[in-house]
This record gives sequence, structure tokens and C-alpha cells, in this order.
Amino acid sequence: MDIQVLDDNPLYKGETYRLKFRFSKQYPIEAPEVVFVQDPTHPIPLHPHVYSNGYICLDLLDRAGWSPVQNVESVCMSLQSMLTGNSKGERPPGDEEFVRRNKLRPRDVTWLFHDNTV
Amino acid sequence: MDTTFEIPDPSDWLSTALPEIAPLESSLRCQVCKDFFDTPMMTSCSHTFCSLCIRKCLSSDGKCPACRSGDQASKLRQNWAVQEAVDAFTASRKTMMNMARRQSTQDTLNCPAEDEIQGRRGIKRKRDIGMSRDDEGADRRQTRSQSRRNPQHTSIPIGSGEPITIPDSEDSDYTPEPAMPRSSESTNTPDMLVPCPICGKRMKEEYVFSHLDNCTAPTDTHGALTTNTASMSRPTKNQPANTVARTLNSPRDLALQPIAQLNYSLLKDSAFRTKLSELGIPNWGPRQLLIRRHTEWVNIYNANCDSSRPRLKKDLLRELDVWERTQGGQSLRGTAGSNSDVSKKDFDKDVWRDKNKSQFESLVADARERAMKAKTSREALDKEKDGHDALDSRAVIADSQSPEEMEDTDAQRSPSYPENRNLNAHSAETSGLEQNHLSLMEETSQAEGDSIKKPPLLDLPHEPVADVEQTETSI
Repeated sequence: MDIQVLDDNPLYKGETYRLKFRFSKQYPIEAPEVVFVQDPTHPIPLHPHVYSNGYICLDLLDRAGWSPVQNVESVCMSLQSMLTGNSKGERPPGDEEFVRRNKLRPRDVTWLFHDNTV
Repeated sequence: MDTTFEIPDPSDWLSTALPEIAPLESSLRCQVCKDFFDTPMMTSCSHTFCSLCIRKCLSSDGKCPACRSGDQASKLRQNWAVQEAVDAFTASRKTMMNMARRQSTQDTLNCPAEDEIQGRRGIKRKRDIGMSRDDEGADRRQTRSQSRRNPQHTSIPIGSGEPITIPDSEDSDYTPEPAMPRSSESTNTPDMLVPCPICGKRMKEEYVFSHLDNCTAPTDTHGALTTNTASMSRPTKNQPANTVARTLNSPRDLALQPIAQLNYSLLKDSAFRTKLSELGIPNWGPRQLLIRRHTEWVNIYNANCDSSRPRLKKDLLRELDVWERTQGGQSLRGTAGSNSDVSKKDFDKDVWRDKNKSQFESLVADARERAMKAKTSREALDKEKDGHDALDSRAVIADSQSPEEMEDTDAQRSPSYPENRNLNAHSAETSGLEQNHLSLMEETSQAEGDSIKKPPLLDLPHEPVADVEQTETSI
């Protein structure tokens, strides 16, 4: 699934990002696993909640934040709004360390949702 | 038309002449499964979902999926109005879609005559659907025609007078969908007669009620009686409620009572298993699987209790079986690893393998060593039985050795596992122990026979395992 940020946010203008959805058998009771994937034409967006390996820190995708009424469309929309509301062109703190050390899949990572501003 | 393999979706309407139907259709769909509501239930926060969907959600995290307020399955209430709307909509969807598509392919300048023909065609098709859908819906037909005939007649001339506004007028005509299919039936019946809901005899509408008082040909006593009382007590208006009363009565009369949820932590293992067999569902497997299975069964069963068209228990058991094979079986594998931090849902093969590589290796070595010992001490029969136990435990260990091996053993085991159990249950019911003892004897004598030649290690454990549990269940 490709998404674009349609407004004029200079960070993401003209870019297209590719998302990978992985659905468990319990979907939609359980959240799908959603990550950005990188290839020559699709970079990973620069965002304080997106790690450089494509992992996304978003409460919607966590077990606690997920709700069965969500779907692919609503997830994409949330991600778009997450990107467009952002003005900081940076990676999350500890990005390198996390990417290097982490072997867990996104759903097994314990996310801490501390920042409600973005 | 040729939409056999097409999955209907609200977006289908967007390309037709009636894009306004799309939101209507989405509102008739469950937000969880995205399908049309199946036995819609209302939560205490006034959201509506399929019975099975909301029960699954509540049993998994106890919150309303839409607003996250807490709720309990026991507080759910049926939303019959929505059920009616869905039934009517799905029954007429195809016809409406065909009309809307044809309309969009035509030019904007379509002549009124053609429109009228289309309308008639649609009506006829709907009548067919209505007829085949429920034959005993006669009371609805008869009464609908009285209350709804006029709008039906007037709407067409209005539409044909102003060709450009036709889509809109048709749209507004369609939105109160429940009226359409039934109203058309008796209006199009040339003799203007309606059938008696009990004996099916056709007569003028005025005579039906007096006829009902002394109609003596009840073909289906139960259904006839309820329809009879329903139509008597609610004349002409409130038709949706009328049908609801009928459909509502039947499941209640059949005494389909919802099963209570259990407090799993308070139940001992054996009591739990007895409980499951009382419910008529499989009671084998590790405790965690039992819990999951029971939860699933309660959901399926209670959703069926809510339904206006309850299915047989046989069908429900089949559904549970499908669940067992697609989702339930997973938990077996997860718990077979039997390490407390490997909870089923979160199990990740690769990480687990990396993390526990050394342990796996030592376990494998250990198991090999023991297997060698077991092989050397297989001469005597009793020793051989010990060997079985050892092998058995070995197989369990093998499960936890590495994910790949886990899958192997699972693959070997899973086909025979449930079968064994089924066979067990069956034979326990019918011929009791006898058969088993026979098979056991056979087995042991065979084993004696070829004690020189080693049987494959992972093959043998099936029988002894089955036998041990056989004795448990039959006693």
C-alpha cells in the first residue's frame, strides 16, 4: 500500500511511501503489523515516531490502541495525518541503537506512548 | 447479473447512477467484519455489531470496539430493526444495482417509458426473491399491500414526469427499503387476492381475518400459530415488528438458552473437562486451548441464540471445528513449547530460536543420548513400554527444541491427534474398553514381533498416548 502526504508539508512533499501490512489470523480482533518498507523509489519518512527500519510508533497499531473497527484505510489515514502534522525532520531518540539491537517484530516491541503532540 | 464471484461492497455504487446508496450500504454493515450485519446486537453504548463479532471483541478485551467503553456480553440486546433493514436491503440489492448500472450506461436523456419498464422489471424480480425467501410471509404481503400500495403507484408517474430527477426520486423511493419487495407482490397480483397464512388458500383481503378464525388446515402448527397471533394482535401497521415477533418467538420456544461464561481460574482441570463434554465439545488438549475453545464455543453458541434464524448444533460444531483447525490449533503449538513466557499470540519463531539456541542444542544432545539408551534397553516387553514413555516425553521435548522441529512433530501429530480423540470418544460410547484392549494387545504383540527392527521413533508414541487417555475417559 502506497501513501502520499497530499498537502505542502516540505518534509514529505512529492514523496511516496510504501507500507507493509501483515494480518494475523485474529484480524480484525488483533491489529495488523504495519511497517514502512524501503526500496529505491520509496524512502522511509523522516519522523520522530518512525524508526529508520520502518517501524512505526503509533498507539493505533499497538494492542491497547487498536480497535476492531479500524481497517487499512483508517490506518493509512492516521499515518498520513501523523506525517502531515509533523514539522521535525528527525528520527526518534535512540534510533540507531534500537535498529541495531532490535530483533523483535513490531508487535512484540513494547512501545511507550509518551508524546501526544504529534 | 453475472455477479456470482463478485464480493459486494459499498463502493460498487459509486460508479452507478445511485452513488448515494454507498453510505446507506456501509451503514448496514458491521464495522468489525465489514459484512452485512448478521444478527445485529446493540451494546450498552448503543453501537451495533454482528452478534458473533461483538462477542469475540468483548471476550478478547471487554470493550466496545467503536468507543472503547467497557461492556459485557450479557448486556447485549438484539437490534431487530437493523436486521430487518439488512434483510430487505440484501434481498433487493442485486436488482437495485442492475437498475442503477443500466441507468448509468444510458444517456442522461432517457425516456420515461423505458424507466417505467425498468421499474416493472425490478418489481417482478423482487417478487421472485420475496417468494423464494419466505413462503409463509403471506401475512406481510397481505397487509403491506394495504398500507403501501399508494406510494408505489404515485412514485412512478412523478418520476416519469421529470426525467432528470429520476435517479433522485427513485433513490428516495428506495431508501425506506423494507416496503418495496412486499408491496409490489400483491399490487402486481392480477386477481388482487392474498393467500391465507395458514392454509395458503387465496381470497380477498377483507376475508382473511374472518377466515383465520376458523381456518382448519394448519400445515405447520408452530409457525402458523405464531403468525396467526402476530397478525391478529398487530393489524396492518408495524409490519416489521410483526415479522420480528414471529421470528423472535420461534427460537425462544425452542428454548435456546445462552450458555454462561465460566470463571476459568476457579475451575479445576478435570471439572473443566467434564463441563466441556457436557456441552458436547471436544475436551482434549492443554488447559489454555480448553479455555480458548470454550470461549469460542460460548461466542458461537450464544450468537446463534440471538439469531432469528438459528442453526442446528451440528453446524455450530462444524464451525468450531473450522476454528479449531485454523486458529485454535495454533495455541496447541504455543503451549507445547510449554514455557510460560511463550504466550501463543506473541510467539515469534526466529527470535525464539536465536535466543534459546544453546538450550535447544543441549536438549537435542540430551534427547539423543536418552534415545540411544532407550534403544539398548528394549528387549523385554515392560522395558519396551518404558521406552514408549521415554519416547513420548522425548517427543514433547522435541517440540520445544526448535521451531522447525516443532513444525515437523506437529505435522506428524496433528492429523492423527484429533482423530484419535474422536475415535476414543466414539468407542467409549459404543463398545467401551473392549475394542481398545484389543488394539492395545495387537499393538504390543506387534511390537514384540519386530523388536529386532526398530520402529520409527516419532511414530510409535501415538498409540500409547491414546491408550492412556482412553482409560481416563472411559473410566
